[in-house]
Amino acid sequence: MHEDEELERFIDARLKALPGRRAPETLRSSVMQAVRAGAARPWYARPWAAWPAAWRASSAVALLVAAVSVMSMTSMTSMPALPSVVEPLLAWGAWVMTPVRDVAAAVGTFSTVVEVMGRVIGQSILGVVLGLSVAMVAASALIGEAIRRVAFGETGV
Amino acid sequence: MSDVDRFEAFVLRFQDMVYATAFRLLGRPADAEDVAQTVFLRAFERFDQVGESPAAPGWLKTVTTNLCLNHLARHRARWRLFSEMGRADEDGQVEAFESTLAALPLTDTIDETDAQAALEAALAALPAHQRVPLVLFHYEEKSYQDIAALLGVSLGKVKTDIHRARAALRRAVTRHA
Repeated sequence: MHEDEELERFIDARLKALPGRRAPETLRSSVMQAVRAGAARPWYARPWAAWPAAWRASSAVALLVAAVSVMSMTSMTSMPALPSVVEPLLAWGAWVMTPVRDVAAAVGTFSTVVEVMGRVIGQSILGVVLGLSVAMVAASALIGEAIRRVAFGETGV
Repeated sequence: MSDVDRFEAFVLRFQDMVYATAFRLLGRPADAEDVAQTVFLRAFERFDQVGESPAAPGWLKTVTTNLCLNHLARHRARWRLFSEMGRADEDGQVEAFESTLAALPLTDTIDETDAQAALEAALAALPAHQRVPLVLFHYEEKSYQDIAALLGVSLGKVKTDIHRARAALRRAVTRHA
Protein backbone atom coordinates (compact mmCIF):
# COMPACT_ATOMS: atom_id res chain seq x y z
CA MET A 1 0.00 0.00 0.00
CA HIS A 2 2.86 2.31 0.92
CA GLU A 3 4.51 1.51 -2.41
CA ASP A 4 1.29 2.40 -4.27
CA GLU A 5 1.10 5.78 -2.56
CA GLU A 6 4.72 6.44 -3.37
CA LEU A 7 4.10 5.60 -7.02
CA GLU A 8 1.04 7.85 -7.05
CA ARG A 9 3.02 10.79 -5.65
CA PHE A 10 5.92 10.17 -8.03
CA ILE A 11 3.74 10.10 -11.14
CA ASP A 12 1.58 13.00 -9.93
CA ALA A 13 4.65 15.21 -9.48
CA ARG A 14 6.09 14.16 -12.84
CA LEU A 15 2.84 14.71 -14.73
CA LYS A 16 2.21 18.12 -13.20
CA ALA A 17 5.76 19.19 -14.00
CA LEU A 18 5.13 18.62 -17.71
CA PRO A 19 4.97 21.87 -19.65
CA GLY A 20 1.49 22.68 -20.94
CA ARG A 21 0.97 21.78 -24.55
CA ARG A 22 0.32 24.80 -26.74
CA ALA A 23 -2.61 24.89 -29.12
CA PRO A 24 -1.67 24.79 -32.82
CA GLU A 25 -1.81 28.05 -34.77
CA THR A 26 -4.62 26.67 -36.91
CA LEU A 27 -7.03 26.27 -33.99
CA ARG A 28 -7.85 29.95 -33.46
CA SER A 29 -8.16 30.67 -37.17
CA SER A 30 -10.45 27.70 -37.82
CA VAL A 31 -12.64 28.56 -34.83
CA MET A 32 -12.94 32.22 -35.83
CA GLN A 33 -13.63 31.29 -39.44
CA ALA A 34 -16.52 29.08 -38.31
CA VAL A 35 -17.76 31.77 -35.91
CA ARG A 36 -17.72 34.48 -38.60
CA ALA A 37 -19.52 32.16 -41.04
CA GLY A 38 -22.13 31.51 -38.36
CA ALA A 39 -22.45 35.20 -37.49
CA ALA A 40 -23.19 35.96 -41.14
CA ARG A 41 -26.26 33.71 -41.03
CA PRO A 42 -29.66 35.24 -40.17
CA TRP A 43 -30.70 34.78 -36.56
CA TYR A 44 -33.38 32.20 -37.32
CA ALA A 45 -30.85 29.92 -39.04
CA ARG A 46 -28.72 29.74 -35.89
CA PRO A 47 -29.23 27.36 -32.94
CA TRP A 48 -32.15 28.34 -30.70
CA ALA A 49 -29.79 29.26 -27.84
CA ALA A 50 -28.20 31.90 -30.10
CA TRP A 51 -31.51 33.59 -31.03
CA PRO A 52 -32.16 37.12 -29.73
CA ALA A 53 -33.73 37.05 -26.26
CA ALA A 54 -37.06 38.49 -27.48
CA TRP A 55 -37.43 35.78 -30.12
CA ARG A 56 -36.45 33.09 -27.67
CA ALA A 57 -39.14 34.32 -25.28
CA SER A 58 -41.72 34.61 -28.07
CA SER A 59 -41.01 31.12 -29.36
CA ALA A 60 -41.22 29.70 -25.84
CA VAL A 61 -44.65 31.34 -25.36
CA ALA A 62 -45.80 30.08 -28.77
CA LEU A 63 -44.68 26.58 -27.84
CA LEU A 64 -46.58 26.83 -24.55
CA VAL A 65 -49.73 28.00 -26.32
CA ALA A 66 -49.43 25.15 -28.81
CA ALA A 67 -49.00 22.65 -26.00
CA VAL A 68 -52.01 24.05 -24.14
CA SER A 69 -54.08 23.94 -27.32
CA VAL A 70 -53.19 20.31 -27.91
CA MET A 71 -54.07 19.50 -24.32
CA SER A 72 -57.42 21.26 -24.74
CA MET A 73 -58.18 19.38 -27.94
CA THR A 74 -57.44 16.06 -26.35
CA SER A 75 -59.83 16.76 -23.46
CA MET A 76 -57.19 16.87 -20.78
CA THR A 77 -58.78 19.88 -19.11
CA SER A 78 -60.20 17.71 -16.34
CA MET A 79 -56.79 16.71 -14.99
CA PRO A 80 -56.81 16.93 -11.21
CA ALA A 81 -54.64 19.23 -9.11
CA LEU A 82 -53.57 21.60 -11.87
CA PRO A 83 -51.82 24.77 -10.72
CA SER A 84 -54.08 27.82 -10.66
CA VAL A 85 -52.05 29.47 -13.47
CA VAL A 86 -52.60 26.58 -15.85
CA GLU A 87 -56.40 26.36 -15.51
CA PRO A 88 -57.19 29.76 -17.08
CA LEU A 89 -54.70 28.96 -19.83
CA LEU A 90 -56.46 25.69 -20.54
CA ALA A 91 -59.85 27.44 -20.49
CA TRP A 92 -58.55 30.06 -22.90
CA GLY A 93 -57.07 27.34 -25.08
CA ALA A 94 -60.41 25.50 -25.13
CA TRP A 95 -62.23 28.77 -26.05
CA VAL A 96 -59.77 29.42 -28.89
CA MET A 97 -59.83 25.86 -30.11
CA THR A 98 -63.64 25.33 -30.15
CA PRO A 99 -64.23 26.90 -33.60
CA VAL A 100 -61.09 25.21 -34.89
CA ARG A 101 -62.40 21.89 -33.62
CA ASP A 102 -65.82 22.51 -35.25
CA VAL A 103 -64.22 23.35 -38.58
CA ALA A 104 -61.99 20.28 -38.31
CA ALA A 105 -65.04 18.11 -37.61
CA ALA A 106 -66.90 19.57 -40.61
CA VAL A 107 -63.90 19.01 -42.85
CA GLY A 108 -63.63 15.46 -41.54
CA THR A 109 -67.32 14.75 -42.29
CA PHE A 110 -67.05 16.24 -45.76
CA SER A 111 -63.95 14.24 -46.58
CA THR A 112 -65.65 11.04 -45.38
CA VAL A 113 -68.66 11.70 -47.64
CA VAL A 114 -66.38 12.40 -50.59
CA GLU A 115 -64.42 9.23 -49.89
CA VAL A 116 -67.57 7.05 -49.69
CA MET A 117 -68.98 8.57 -52.86
CA GLY A 118 -65.71 8.00 -54.61
CA ARG A 119 -65.70 4.37 -53.55
CA VAL A 120 -69.28 3.81 -54.72
CA ILE A 121 -68.71 5.52 -58.04
CA GLY A 122 -65.36 3.85 -58.45
CA GLN A 123 -66.86 0.41 -57.83
CA SER A 124 -69.70 1.15 -60.30
CA ILE A 125 -67.31 2.27 -63.00
CA LEU A 126 -65.14 -0.76 -62.36
CA GLY A 127 -68.17 -3.06 -62.82
CA VAL A 128 -69.19 -1.35 -66.05
CA VAL A 129 -65.66 -1.53 -67.43
CA LEU A 130 -65.38 -5.19 -66.47
CA GLY A 131 -68.76 -6.02 -68.09
CA LEU A 132 -67.89 -4.15 -71.25
CA SER A 133 -64.55 -5.94 -71.49
CA VAL A 134 -66.20 -9.38 -71.13
CA ALA A 135 -68.85 -8.44 -73.72
CA MET A 136 -66.24 -7.19 -76.19
CA VAL A 137 -64.13 -10.35 -75.83
CA ALA A 138 -67.24 -12.52 -76.36
CA ALA A 139 -68.32 -10.45 -79.37
CA SER A 140 -64.83 -10.68 -80.89
CA ALA A 141 -64.85 -14.46 -80.46
CA LEU A 142 -68.28 -14.75 -82.08
CA ILE A 143 -67.35 -12.52 -85.01
CA GLY A 144 -64.08 -14.39 -85.50
CA GLU A 145 -65.90 -17.73 -85.51
CA ALA A 146 -68.49 -16.40 -88.02
CA ILE A 147 -65.77 -15.09 -90.35
CA ARG A 148 -63.93 -18.40 -90.17
CA ARG A 149 -67.08 -20.34 -91.10
CA VAL A 150 -68.07 -18.00 -93.93
CA ALA A 151 -64.58 -17.54 -95.39
CA PHE A 152 -63.11 -21.04 -94.94
CA GLY A 153 -66.27 -23.16 -94.65
CA GLU A 154 -64.97 -24.71 -91.44
CA THR A 155 -67.15 -25.99 -88.65
CA GLY A 156 -66.48 -25.38 -85.01
CA VAL A 157 -65.16 -28.16 -82.87
CA MET B 1 -15.50 45.85 -29.44
CA SER B 2 -17.93 43.46 -31.15
CA ASP B 3 -19.00 40.09 -29.77
CA VAL B 4 -16.82 38.35 -32.35
CA ASP B 5 -13.77 40.39 -31.31
CA ARG B 6 -14.43 39.69 -27.63
CA PHE B 7 -14.81 36.01 -28.44
CA GLU B 8 -11.50 35.97 -30.29
CA ALA B 9 -9.80 37.30 -27.17
CA PHE B 10 -11.60 34.59 -25.19
CA VAL B 11 -10.27 31.90 -27.57
CA LEU B 12 -6.73 33.27 -27.31
CA ARG B 13 -6.95 33.19 -23.53
CA PHE B 14 -8.20 29.61 -23.17
CA GLN B 15 -7.11 27.76 -26.30
CA ASP B 16 -3.98 26.24 -24.74
CA MET B 17 -5.89 24.95 -21.73
CA VAL B 18 -8.67 23.42 -23.83
CA TYR B 19 -6.28 21.90 -26.35
CA ALA B 20 -3.97 20.49 -23.66
CA THR B 21 -6.91 18.89 -21.84
CA ALA B 22 -8.17 17.32 -25.06
CA PHE B 23 -4.72 16.14 -26.08
CA ARG B 24 -4.04 14.46 -22.74
CA LEU B 25 -7.32 12.55 -22.95
CA LEU B 26 -7.18 11.63 -26.63
CA GLY B 27 -3.43 11.34 -27.22
CA ARG B 28 -3.73 12.51 -30.85
CA PRO B 29 -3.13 16.10 -31.99
CA ALA B 30 -5.67 16.07 -34.83
CA ASP B 31 -8.46 14.67 -32.64
CA ALA B 32 -7.60 17.15 -29.88
CA GLU B 33 -7.85 20.05 -32.32
CA ASP B 34 -11.23 18.86 -33.62
CA VAL B 35 -12.60 18.58 -30.11
CA ALA B 36 -11.15 21.95 -29.09
CA GLN B 37 -12.83 23.60 -32.06
CA THR B 38 -16.19 22.08 -31.13
CA VAL B 39 -15.74 23.24 -27.53
CA PHE B 40 -15.19 26.84 -28.62
CA LEU B 41 -18.13 26.80 -31.01
CA ARG B 42 -20.33 25.68 -28.13
CA ALA B 43 -18.84 28.41 -25.98
CA PHE B 44 -19.74 30.97 -28.64
CA GLU B 45 -23.38 29.83 -28.58
CA ARG B 46 -23.45 30.58 -24.85
CA PHE B 47 -21.00 33.44 -24.89
CA ASP B 48 -23.51 35.72 -23.11
CA GLN B 49 -23.34 33.49 -20.05
CA VAL B 50 -19.81 32.05 -20.36
CA GLY B 51 -17.83 35.02 -21.66
CA GLU B 52 -17.35 37.04 -18.51
CA SER B 53 -18.05 34.29 -16.00
CA PRO B 54 -15.35 33.28 -13.52
CA ALA B 55 -16.61 29.72 -14.02
CA ALA B 56 -15.57 29.79 -17.69
CA PRO B 57 -12.40 27.66 -17.25
CA GLY B 58 -14.32 25.00 -15.33
CA TRP B 59 -17.12 25.03 -17.89
CA LEU B 60 -14.62 24.68 -20.73
CA LYS B 61 -12.82 21.78 -19.00
CA THR B 62 -16.07 19.94 -18.32
CA VAL B 63 -17.29 20.34 -21.90
CA THR B 64 -13.88 19.30 -23.23
CA THR B 65 -13.80 16.19 -21.05
CA ASN B 66 -17.33 15.17 -22.05
CA LEU B 67 -16.67 15.72 -25.74
CA CYS B 68 -13.44 13.70 -25.53
CA LEU B 69 -15.25 10.80 -23.87
CA ASN B 70 -17.97 10.99 -26.54
CA HIS B 71 -15.27 11.04 -29.20
CA LEU B 72 -13.59 7.95 -27.77
CA ALA B 73 -16.90 6.17 -27.39
CA ARG B 74 -17.94 7.01 -30.92
CA HIS B 75 -14.74 6.04 -32.66
CA ARG B 76 -13.84 2.95 -30.71
CA ALA B 77 -16.77 1.00 -29.32
CA ARG B 78 -16.95 1.98 -25.67
CA TRP B 79 -17.66 -1.48 -24.37
CA ARG B 80 -14.35 -2.68 -25.81
CA LEU B 81 -12.44 0.28 -24.40
CA PHE B 82 -13.78 0.43 -20.92
CA SER B 83 -15.28 -2.91 -20.07
CA GLU B 84 -13.59 -5.92 -18.64
CA MET B 85 -14.41 -7.76 -21.89
CA GLY B 86 -11.93 -5.90 -24.06
CA ARG B 87 -8.95 -8.14 -23.47
CA ALA B 88 -7.86 -8.52 -27.10
CA ASP B 89 -8.10 -4.79 -27.74
CA GLU B 90 -6.17 -4.03 -24.56
CA ASP B 91 -3.41 -6.44 -25.55
CA GLY B 92 -3.01 -4.67 -28.88
CA GLN B 93 -2.78 -1.27 -27.23
CA VAL B 94 -0.30 -2.50 -24.65
CA GLU B 95 1.88 -3.83 -27.47
CA ALA B 96 1.72 -0.42 -29.14
CA PHE B 97 2.81 1.18 -25.87
CA GLU B 98 5.74 -1.22 -25.54
CA SER B 99 6.93 -0.42 -29.07
CA THR B 100 6.69 3.32 -28.33
CA LEU B 101 8.70 2.78 -25.17
CA ALA B 102 11.34 0.84 -27.07
CA ALA B 103 11.60 3.63 -29.66
CA LEU B 104 12.37 6.31 -27.08
CA PRO B 105 16.02 7.48 -27.25
CA LEU B 106 18.21 5.73 -24.71
CA THR B 107 21.13 7.92 -23.62
CA ASP B 108 23.72 7.64 -20.88
CA THR B 109 23.12 11.12 -19.59
CA ILE B 110 19.50 12.10 -19.46
CA ASP B 111 18.40 15.59 -18.57
CA GLU B 112 15.02 16.77 -17.35
CA THR B 113 13.88 17.74 -20.84
CA ASP B 114 14.50 14.22 -22.14
CA ALA B 115 12.65 12.73 -19.20
CA GLN B 116 9.69 15.02 -19.83
CA ALA B 117 9.67 14.17 -23.50
CA ALA B 118 9.78 10.46 -22.67
CA LEU B 119 6.92 10.87 -20.20
CA GLU B 120 4.80 12.84 -22.70
CA ALA B 121 5.36 10.23 -25.40
CA ALA B 122 4.58 7.41 -23.01
CA LEU B 123 1.41 9.14 -21.79
CA ALA B 124 0.16 9.62 -25.34
CA ALA B 125 0.98 6.00 -26.18
CA LEU B 126 -0.85 4.50 -23.20
CA PRO B 127 -3.93 2.46 -24.08
CA ALA B 128 -7.01 4.71 -23.83
CA HIS B 129 -8.55 2.63 -21.06
CA GLN B 130 -5.48 3.43 -18.92
CA ARG B 131 -4.73 6.97 -20.13
CA VAL B 132 -8.25 8.37 -19.67
CA PRO B 133 -8.73 7.43 -15.99
CA LEU B 134 -5.12 8.42 -15.22
CA VAL B 135 -5.60 11.88 -16.74
CA LEU B 136 -8.95 12.35 -15.03
CA PHE B 137 -7.33 11.46 -11.69
CA HIS B 138 -4.11 13.45 -11.90
CA TYR B 139 -5.11 16.46 -14.00
CA GLU B 140 -8.86 16.82 -13.46
CA GLU B 141 -8.61 15.95 -9.74
CA LYS B 142 -11.47 13.46 -9.95
CA SER B 143 -11.89 10.68 -7.40
CA TYR B 144 -11.80 6.98 -8.28
CA GLN B 145 -15.55 6.82 -7.68
CA ASP B 146 -16.25 9.78 -9.95
CA ILE B 147 -14.12 8.27 -12.70
CA ALA B 148 -15.86 4.92 -12.40
CA ALA B 149 -19.24 6.64 -12.66
CA LEU B 150 -18.12 8.81 -15.56
CA LEU B 151 -16.75 5.89 -17.57
CA GLY B 152 -19.43 3.43 -16.51
CA VAL B 153 -17.00 0.80 -15.21
CA SER B 154 -16.32 -0.80 -11.86
CA LEU B 155 -14.25 0.89 -9.17
CA GLY B 156 -11.80 -2.03 -9.20
CA LYS B 157 -11.25 -1.67 -12.93
CA VAL B 158 -10.48 2.04 -12.54
CA LYS B 159 -7.97 1.40 -9.76
CA THR B 160 -6.28 -1.40 -11.68
CA ASP B 161 -6.03 0.61 -14.91
CA ILE B 162 -4.63 3.66 -13.15
CA HIS B 163 -2.11 1.55 -11.26
CA ARG B 164 -0.93 -0.14 -14.48
CA ALA B 165 -0.70 3.23 -16.21
CA ARG B 166 1.44 4.67 -13.41
CA ALA B 167 3.72 1.64 -13.45
CA ALA B 168 4.13 1.94 -17.23
CA LEU B 169 4.93 5.65 -16.99
CA ARG B 170 7.48 5.04 -14.26
CA ARG B 171 9.21 2.51 -16.50
CA ALA B 172 9.28 5.08 -19.29
CA VAL B 173 10.83 7.72 -17.05
CA THR B 174 13.33 5.54 -15.19
CA ARG B 175 14.49 3.16 -17.90
CA HIS B 176 17.44 5.42 -18.61
CA ALA B 177 18.75 5.24 -15.07
